Amino acid sequence: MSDIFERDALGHIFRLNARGAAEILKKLDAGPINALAQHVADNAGDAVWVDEYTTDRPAASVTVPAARQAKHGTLTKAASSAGLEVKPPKRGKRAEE
Amino acid sequence: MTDREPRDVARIVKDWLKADLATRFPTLSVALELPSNWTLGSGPVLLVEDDGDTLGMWPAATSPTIRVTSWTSGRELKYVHAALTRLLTQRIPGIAKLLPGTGILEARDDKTRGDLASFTVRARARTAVPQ
Repeated sequence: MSDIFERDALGHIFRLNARGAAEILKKLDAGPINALAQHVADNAGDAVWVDEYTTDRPAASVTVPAARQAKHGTLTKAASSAGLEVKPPKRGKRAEE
Repeated sequence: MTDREPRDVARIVKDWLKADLATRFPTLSVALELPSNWTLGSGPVLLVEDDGDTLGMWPAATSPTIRVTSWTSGRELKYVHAALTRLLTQRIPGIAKLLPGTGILEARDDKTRGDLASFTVRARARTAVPQ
């Protein structure tokens, strides 16, 4: 990974530690994402699983039994209630479940 | 204050699919609710239901998630395959756009032992002044 240098108004030179910044961002972002996944899961009721994971960024999935989704739309309704849409993943990204 | 109101997108989709699939599948019922007397051995039913809206486009438009589910006696995917393809490739009057939601999901109903096959699409429909 190449270094990125920045110079401030006083002429100081800073080197961005990209690897360190990525680690910090992953930790900072994980909380709200996991909370949102838990909010969807709470809306979906019982027998719901939340999986918190990290790819190149924090992510989480919510899983419900297939019959409940097919018969009642449990996951899609829970997502709508949380202000989210369930849609296909962008190419190369893990699916939003 | 606006005099524009949401359209009943599920009903629009149901009516359109009912007409569109009638010739190809004459025994298929397309409905908004499962008949209360549906049992294993009954004819195939294709249900169209509204799974809610984030209201992210309100008041110009609504964006409901529409779920389409076939109920059949034994595994049969041809109804949802046809419905998914038609909905994502044809223009339906009253609906600005239909976008992919979830792929086809198979399940079995514990109560009736009917086979279910379900998918969702994401609708975009402009609000309209009621007629």
